Amino acid sequence: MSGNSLKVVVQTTGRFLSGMVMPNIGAFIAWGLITALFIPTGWLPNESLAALVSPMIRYLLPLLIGYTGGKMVGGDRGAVAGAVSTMGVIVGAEIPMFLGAMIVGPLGGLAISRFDKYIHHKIKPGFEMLVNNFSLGIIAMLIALIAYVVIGPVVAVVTEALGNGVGWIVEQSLLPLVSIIVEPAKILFLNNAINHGVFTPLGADQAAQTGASIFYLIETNPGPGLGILLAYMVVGKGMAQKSAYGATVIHFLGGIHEIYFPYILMKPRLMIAVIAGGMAGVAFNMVTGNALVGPPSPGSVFALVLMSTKGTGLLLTLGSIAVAATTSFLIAAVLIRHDASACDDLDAAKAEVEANKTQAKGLQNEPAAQVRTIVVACDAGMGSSAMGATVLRGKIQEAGLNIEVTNSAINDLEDADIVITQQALSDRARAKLPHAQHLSIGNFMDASFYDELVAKLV
Amino acid sequence: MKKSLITKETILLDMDVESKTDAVHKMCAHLFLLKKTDNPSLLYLDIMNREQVVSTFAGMHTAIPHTVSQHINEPVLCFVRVRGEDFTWDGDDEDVRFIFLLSAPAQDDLKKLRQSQSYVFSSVAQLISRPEIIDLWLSTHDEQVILDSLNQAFESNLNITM
Repeated sequence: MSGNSLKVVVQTTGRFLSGMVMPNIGAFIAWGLITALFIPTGWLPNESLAALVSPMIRYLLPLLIGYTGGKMVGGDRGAVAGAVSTMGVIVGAEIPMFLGAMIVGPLGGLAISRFDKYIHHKIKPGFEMLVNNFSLGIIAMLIALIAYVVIGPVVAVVTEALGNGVGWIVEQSLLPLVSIIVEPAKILFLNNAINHGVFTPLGADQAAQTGASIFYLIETNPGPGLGILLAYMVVGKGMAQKSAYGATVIHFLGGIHEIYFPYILMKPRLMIAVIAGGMAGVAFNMVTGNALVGPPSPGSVFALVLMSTKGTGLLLTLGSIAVAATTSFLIAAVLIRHDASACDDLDAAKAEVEANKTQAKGLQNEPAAQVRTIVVACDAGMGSSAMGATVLRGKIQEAGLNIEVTNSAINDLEDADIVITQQALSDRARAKLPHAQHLSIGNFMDASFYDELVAKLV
Repeated sequence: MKKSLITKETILLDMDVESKTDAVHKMCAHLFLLKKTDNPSLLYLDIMNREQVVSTFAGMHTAIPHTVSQHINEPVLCFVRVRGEDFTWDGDDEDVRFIFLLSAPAQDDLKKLRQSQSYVFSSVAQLISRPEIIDLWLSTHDEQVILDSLNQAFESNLNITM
């Protein structure tokens, strides 16, 4: 059971993190395209337009992530608090602060929502605006200061430690093992820090002596990420599958690796697939002696090809991408397919654990005391969910349970112990209300689903 | 307002339709003729956009397309009984005989609007759980019979919730 609850924690965290990134993918693409086009090694080098690159990745993208993170926890006010708080980690750091933004954004949102809950109904009429604005301003300021003084440096230390770990593995000549650190670190958006902070200097040293370096090929190989996206395309479902096509183009041809990170955050177990893919790619390059003459930037297939050594180098580079992609694809495909069947089981398992707990206690009223509200939610909140709530309400009343059943639009979800949504909408509902228990239903008139649920609640 | 939500004119019996898109098209066109919408094609798009999020197939031979739209003049419920038994809403297992199309104009407080319209499909849910109602709806040739059964359910739900 502890393994199961760990799995739930990891999955929930992963989903939460990807929930902060996914809405902002468009901004990543904008930044990625500007980078791919205008940086000195880009397709249309242009010094003045390239000035956009650094502020966008240093400020805009982390702020958007912090804003979204705050919004997920604390609504519109949380979003503002999240963005202000994120400024604290951005200014305190030398590297793009995605990881820091993912921590302090939700923290800012949490702080303001807790405060709001606490002072609810306690403000004198006429003073609401004043209290709202100043409370938000003061709380956001405090979190930003804490972020600047404490969280920023901690994230910087973590990043540095990762860099040192990579350096140590390199010294021990265990190069393929480096993927064990590099691939997960990439997913936490430390890719640039690792690549430019560790591998590019190492590569420059080596290339100065031998004319080429394998270090340029470690973080930049688009193979592992390509494998993940291909796996989503072939065996994935829903939004993830549909969006994987576009993401593949941006990732593989455009070299913007950031685009595939949320796909792994959604299913953290896929980390195994990218690590294995990365290791396979590095091992291939080690065995064949393949290396690049300069750092490929961005990490697209074109940039890697351009930086390949003359002669067979080009083929070997393509080979290493293919090997990495195939390895990562095969493992990811198995994991995604397994998850597709296990995903529903996860919710069922959670409900079962709850049911077991209450059975063990032998107290009839206990579960009803735990579950006070059930919300049936759909996109609009007036159609399907209204039907579902009606059917469930009837069954709850029949069973003599004192549980409130309402219906709502997912965007309006505020508080509930259990949220029931159609499968395609469950991720959205989870993002909106991460702490509730979420159940997925095929169609809202499925009486057997409600019978089972009521049986577990009685 | 609740009296005019559904009228005999918005109850269409034995409509010949080939597909979901065809059905929604025809319903929007009918609402245009009744002057409920000034722009049936945009209303159609709003409804289909909602369908793309997730199908509104509701089980019990029923589909409930619905949308909050700028292109509807007043809240309206349209009932369609489909002719033929092989019509499906979205796929193989989703055979549909009754379509309830609900649309309401957008207003400032969307949450309030949604809540105020929830009674409609709550009532529909209660009705389609009753086999005798399904039989009645399948067999009657009189729109008034369907209208009465719906209005009766609406009134009892409104009384409970108000």
